Amino acid sequence: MARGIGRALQKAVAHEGLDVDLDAEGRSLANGRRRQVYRYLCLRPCARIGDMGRELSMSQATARWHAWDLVENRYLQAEGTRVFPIGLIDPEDAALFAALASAGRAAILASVFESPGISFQELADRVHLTRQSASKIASELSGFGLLSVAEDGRYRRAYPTDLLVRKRDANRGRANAFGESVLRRLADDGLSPELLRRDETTLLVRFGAGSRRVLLEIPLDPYATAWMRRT
Amino acid sequence: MRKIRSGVYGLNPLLDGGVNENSTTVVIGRSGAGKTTLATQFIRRGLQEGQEGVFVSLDENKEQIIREAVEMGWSDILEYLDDELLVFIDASGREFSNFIRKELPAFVADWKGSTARIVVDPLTPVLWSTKDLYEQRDLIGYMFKQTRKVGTVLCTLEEHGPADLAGPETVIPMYLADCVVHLKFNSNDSDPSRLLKIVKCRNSRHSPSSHPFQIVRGLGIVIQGVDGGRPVTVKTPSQLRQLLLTRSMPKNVRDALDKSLDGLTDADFRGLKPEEVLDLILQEYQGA
Repeated sequence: MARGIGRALQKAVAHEGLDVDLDAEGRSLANGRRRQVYRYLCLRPCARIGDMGRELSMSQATARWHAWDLVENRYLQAEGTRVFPIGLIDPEDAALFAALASAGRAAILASVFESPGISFQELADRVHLTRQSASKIASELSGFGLLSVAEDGRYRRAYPTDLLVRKRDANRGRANAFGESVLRRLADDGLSPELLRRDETTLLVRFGAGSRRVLLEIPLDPYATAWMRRT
Repeated sequence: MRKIRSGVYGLNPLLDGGVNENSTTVVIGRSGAGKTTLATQFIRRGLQEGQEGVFVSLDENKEQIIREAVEMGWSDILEYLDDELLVFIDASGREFSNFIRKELPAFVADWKGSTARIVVDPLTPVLWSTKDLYEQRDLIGYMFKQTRKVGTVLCTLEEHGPADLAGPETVIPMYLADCVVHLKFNSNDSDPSRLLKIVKCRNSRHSPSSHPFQIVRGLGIVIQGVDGGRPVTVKTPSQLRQLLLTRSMPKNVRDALDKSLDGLTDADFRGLKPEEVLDLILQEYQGA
């Protein structure tokens, strides 16, 4: 029986050595930062490069460079200036995700889901915007069918729709196939992936070259996570 | 199930020979009840058998626990530490929960089949890492299920409030663990009293009673009044077996009952009379 379980657990708890670069040039996801970019775009497809750089603590130029590498290596698809993981979302929804990528819009949508029937004035107060801006954003979101607006005497009120819920349910099959294709892709790249855990919302995979192995958690639930509040 | 020795004097007979290998035990008790002492005894016993020990300490720092062990007279653990047969891990509840969520599967894949003894002392901060009860259950259940693949696990759990094992922070781990030991400590009197009770133990017989114990320097927890050498008697099951032969019942029922009596002892019946059990069996299968 191999010895050293204690030391190994100590290392794992301290997260040592998990975000290292693998010595495997040319294989896209061998790079630690690129993995972060890929993971982020699975969480929030069509995210703005600036937001992504800020949240991952890397410069915009670095974030853009890695995103383009992933596009060139066919991990990501580009629609105009937006990029999203190939196979994870319906490409028709790229514009929808681009809309959700704005922190202001996501905050408005989240507030409406928390308080269905919220008035535009309350909505503006809740997200610290002027009533005019909140109203403009709410109309945009209603244009996507993400919420509905009702006149109630002198108030205008916003209600959530089930569009995202329906899209999320409809996307489950695609997300499953996406997980499979990522595993195949890593295998093709010679990174011998091992599937460690899989549920409806995430795929946890370990891969590497030689003795160096890394972990990658791939979120599979973009219709729910794209507009999550940023922490 | 293979039994391993617990290292706690007097506990093995109460667990039908010892702790089940690759199981999860939860030791519940208030502060001062003897949880860390029991955990240290458990891990030290494994070291003596050549098993590796991992002590994950989520509360006190490791120096404190090592100092207490040395004060107890167990300075041999310093040598085990030097040889890295024993490793202490200091982590916060949040760090450890993140480890469970993200890295535990990879870790288990690497170390499956190991015979280490693993202590998590206390488990409480892991529970508190999330407010959501469903997530707590998921996290603890997942951790128990995975860690028992790499060894035999013992977690301690703080008992808060006056209620007896009814607090929300004890209920979830109690349901999910294989074996639950409750340490009761009454420090109000001038004469403090300590009691140990095995609340449950999957795949093993166990004592149903509360047993007084002492913490003795050099020895640790010593349970009182346990007669490990008491001869096992099988009067009730053999009488019942005889009685079954005298009554008519379908052959498959008789065979099944006969088989289920294999290995039972009087202790299993706890005062149930063979005639009483026979009557109930006949009622159940009358006309069947």
